[in-house]
Amino acid sequence: MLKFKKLTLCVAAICMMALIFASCSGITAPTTGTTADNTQSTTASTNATSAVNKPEEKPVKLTWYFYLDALMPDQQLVNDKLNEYLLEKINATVEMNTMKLSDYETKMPVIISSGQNFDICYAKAFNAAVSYQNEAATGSLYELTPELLQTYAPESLEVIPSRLWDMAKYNGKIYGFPMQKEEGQQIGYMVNADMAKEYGLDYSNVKSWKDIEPLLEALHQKAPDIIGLYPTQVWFAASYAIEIGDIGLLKMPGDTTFFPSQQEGKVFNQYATPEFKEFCEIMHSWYEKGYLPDNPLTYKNRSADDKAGKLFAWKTAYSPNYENTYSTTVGHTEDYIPLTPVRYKGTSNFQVISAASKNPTRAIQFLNLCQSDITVGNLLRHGIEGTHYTKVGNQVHVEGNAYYYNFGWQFGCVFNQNWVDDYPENIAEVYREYNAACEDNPLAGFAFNNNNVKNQAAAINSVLAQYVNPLTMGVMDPDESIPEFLDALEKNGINELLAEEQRQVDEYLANR
Amino acid sequence: MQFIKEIKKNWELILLALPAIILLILFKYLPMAGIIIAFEDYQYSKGLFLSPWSGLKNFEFLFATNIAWNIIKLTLGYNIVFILLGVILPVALAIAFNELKGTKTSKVFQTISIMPHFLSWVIMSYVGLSLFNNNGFLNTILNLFGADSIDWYSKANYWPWILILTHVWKTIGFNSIIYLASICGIPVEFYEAAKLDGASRWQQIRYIMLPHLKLMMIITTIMALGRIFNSDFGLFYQMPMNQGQLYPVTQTIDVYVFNALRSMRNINMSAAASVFQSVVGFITILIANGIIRKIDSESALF
Amino acid sequence: MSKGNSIRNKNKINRIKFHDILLFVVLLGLTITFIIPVALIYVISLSSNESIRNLGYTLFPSEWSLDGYRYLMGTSEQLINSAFISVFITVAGTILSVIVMGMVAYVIYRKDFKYRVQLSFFIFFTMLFSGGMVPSYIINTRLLHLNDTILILFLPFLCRAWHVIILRTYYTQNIPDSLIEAAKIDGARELELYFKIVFPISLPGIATIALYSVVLLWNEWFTGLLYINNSKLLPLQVLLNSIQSDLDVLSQNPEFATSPDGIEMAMNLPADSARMALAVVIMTPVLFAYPFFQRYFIKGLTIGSVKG
Repeated sequence: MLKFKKLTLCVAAICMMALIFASCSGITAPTTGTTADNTQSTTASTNATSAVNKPEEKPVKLTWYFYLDALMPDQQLVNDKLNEYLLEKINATVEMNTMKLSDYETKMPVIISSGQNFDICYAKAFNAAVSYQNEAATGSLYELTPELLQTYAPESLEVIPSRLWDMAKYNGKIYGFPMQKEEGQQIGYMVNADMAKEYGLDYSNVKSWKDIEPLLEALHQKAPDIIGLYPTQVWFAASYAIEIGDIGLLKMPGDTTFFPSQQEGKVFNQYATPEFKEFCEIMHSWYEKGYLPDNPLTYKNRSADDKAGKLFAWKTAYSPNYENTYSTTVGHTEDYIPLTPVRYKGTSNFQVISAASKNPTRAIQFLNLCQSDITVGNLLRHGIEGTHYTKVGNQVHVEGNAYYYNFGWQFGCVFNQNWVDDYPENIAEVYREYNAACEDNPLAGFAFNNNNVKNQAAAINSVLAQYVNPLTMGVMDPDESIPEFLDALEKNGINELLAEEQRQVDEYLANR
Repeated sequence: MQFIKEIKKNWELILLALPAIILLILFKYLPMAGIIIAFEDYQYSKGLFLSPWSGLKNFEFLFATNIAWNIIKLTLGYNIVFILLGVILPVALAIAFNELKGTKTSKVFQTISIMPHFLSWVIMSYVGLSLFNNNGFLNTILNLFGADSIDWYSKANYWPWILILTHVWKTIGFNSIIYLASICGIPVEFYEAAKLDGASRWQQIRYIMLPHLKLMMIITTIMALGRIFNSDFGLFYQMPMNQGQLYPVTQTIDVYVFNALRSMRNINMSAAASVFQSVVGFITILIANGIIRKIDSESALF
Repeated sequence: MSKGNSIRNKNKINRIKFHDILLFVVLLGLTITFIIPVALIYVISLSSNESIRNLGYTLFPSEWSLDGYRYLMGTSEQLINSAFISVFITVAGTILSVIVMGMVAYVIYRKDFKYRVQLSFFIFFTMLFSGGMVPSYIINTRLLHLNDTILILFLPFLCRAWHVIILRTYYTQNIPDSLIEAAKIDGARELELYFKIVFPISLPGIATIALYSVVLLWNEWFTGLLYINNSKLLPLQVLLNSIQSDLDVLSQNPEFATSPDGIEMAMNLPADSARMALAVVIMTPVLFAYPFFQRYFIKGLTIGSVKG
């Protein structure tokens, strides 16, 4: 036992060493003292007039982390060209650190939490590895005060609509540049139009998700080994009401179509509604009748089967012109059937500046260019004119595949780039119309903070993982399983969670 | 002063141990200060040591809810089975390899036996898919014999067996290596002396090999007990293809933490989970070690 | 030997033969169960995508193809560079870790070492408790400045508590105290004792730990992902792993998988054959290296120096 005491003393001594050492050398504190408080902004505003672009200063190097789906061989080439341009414009260069999404989700949280120096990165709203609201709450983002934006990014204030700036507000303060693409949210079926013609399936009357049943039935009779529907994204509750957290829903004010049984203004459990029960029952019947893949939960061949003409319909979240781009990729004509009105979802993607950045104002200027300077936008997305693309009218024709990215929004703003000529000429218009047509969402900037109900939220997430997919994909029998499911939710604190959600929603709406 | 004298006396041994000690301090002990994250509400701006203290609050999600207790029982249950099998079966396999006549054959079998160790669980889940899918291998065999297909991925009661079998399959070969190496250390004279005394091969195994392996078996068991609250995430998440219907028998603590924190990404809570696993493992080892020390003090871990 | 004995010996040999056959059959069956899934993976890596789509996973594809490996070859320059890095850190790391761990395991094996219990505990404690990813990252980058260097890829792995304890157990089990005492009486210094006497005798144990090191270092991908930005220092595993990491994202988020962004990602996904080719590339080198360690597991090493 004496030996044991000696041991614990040794260990304790070492831990103390570690603690003292670490705190003395200030390793664990953030690298710069920039926190989101007022002193920062006053200094900025007093320097405002003199701070912009002192050419005799040394150029500043910005570190930028973001993810891209595929990494192009000429990345460095484009980066260098971009830096030439930036040196002139804002006396800075940018180091683009791109990686795959899952690598980004693993690496970035560690970089941020450890307080490492970097300038810009990408953050997604709500639940993500690098979560905009989470990072803002823990203080790792640099606050963009109105003065700062006015001084260093006046173009962005014009080019980005104020609806989007609202989405970037956390506790009333802005912490990042919203990235622009489609702002509306709509769910619909994608159907193989060629197949529909071949089997005489008329889908022009499909207005709600159930209406596709007669087509599935007809198809199944004529061609039983073609999969009728791949059932993901099917119970996409946010298209029918406003999602609060992972489980609560709130009806859109004035909405009479969806969830008629629920009260307006009251947060409800989406899985306890008769609509959900009906949905699962119909899905289950489709599963039993054979319209769905053999085991939808382990089904992995959606794209292969679609290409081979073995799949008829599947659901998607829509973005304008998607059916045309998809048709080219998949090799047959694909058509889109909208099932919900276009709901305003704003943006869930932000470019944020780290609180540990040594050059926040320069970073703001750079992000401003991403949003408003078309040279930068084209460079980032399409590469170098002449080498990687040629201009065709106000569109772009891609040459070779040394630098070609399909999505422009990952660089900041799709409207700040010329579109690829695969798109129709008026595509920018189409996008803007789509965005303008969105129904307003009163909770567009709201983020549920589950701090007070962390334990319940954790347990409930686990219950959801167990039941939601099997039920919504038609595999579980709803008559048995839904009561079990609801019971499990109850036992694990759903009522407290919903009460907390209600409280926060009421507070938010009251303060608007 | 006594201390300095001791160092002078043992300086050569201490020199031998020094590189390891330095490495451990740098890479293990210094970062240990970070355990504090589990007990606080980490605020980036305040850094690691000035963030507000939250005591045991981050640990609550592991206990406070109904679902949490089932998970604890499940994890413990599997681990007890795994620990028992994990010490008996690899030893048996090592002895079998040793007894096999024909060293070339034995070596080939041995090399093949470690192959499963290198397959990631993701790959294993695809192999599993080809076995257990509705039109997979097993169902084809069943149909050949006139039986109905079984929907493997939705029947929870088969999965404890499937998971245990798969775990054993994957680990038995690689884990037998150390026992094989141990057997090599037994001097040949022991066997010859035993043969002269008329011992059969079985008796030789029982009275020479097993006692020799006893120490390694005990130590491995004690160390495995230190992970009694951990689970192999890949086995329990990937292999059942994360099917919700199987959760009552596949959601062990690491899967639970993963699911629970997936949409919360809370660094405090995940730190709390691993501290909890470590502390329980530590206490378990101390108890086990204490018991072993009472029985046979030579065999204890420390 | 007299005739009588040889007859008795013959009977003994017959009895043994039955046991042997039984053992052989059982082990053969077991080996077949090990090898079939592995063979399946090799075969899939060499199957064409057509065959996989039509027939699923089978040992007899309709069409063979090297497409899976071609996909991996991608930028062969990068691949060769990374392979070289991986080999380097595996070899250097293994040699160094065997030396470091061998020495310290020996020290805590010595019952006459005054601080034996303390040191054992010091080592053992690190097995269970860890500060986590973020504190390690902070120490490694800000204090030790190992960020983006080749050292970070093997230095943290050189001393592993679990393996040290296994090695100590091996020493205890296989090296009698009398050997040490005898050598000391003969006047051997400590360092000499270890390297010239103990080390050569404990080769099976050392070989096992070396094998563990090889497996660990060769398969390690997380460290490279976290700390390395310079593509010249990227180990093979990181490269290969990121090829299939998108798969995890998509399979864990079915909603994302069918959104326009997800479809785009799915288009760049490797086919099954490429994923299996990846597994093959990861698995095979170690399997080839294994026989090198196997020859240390020879039966019945004689500790000839201790008699009576």
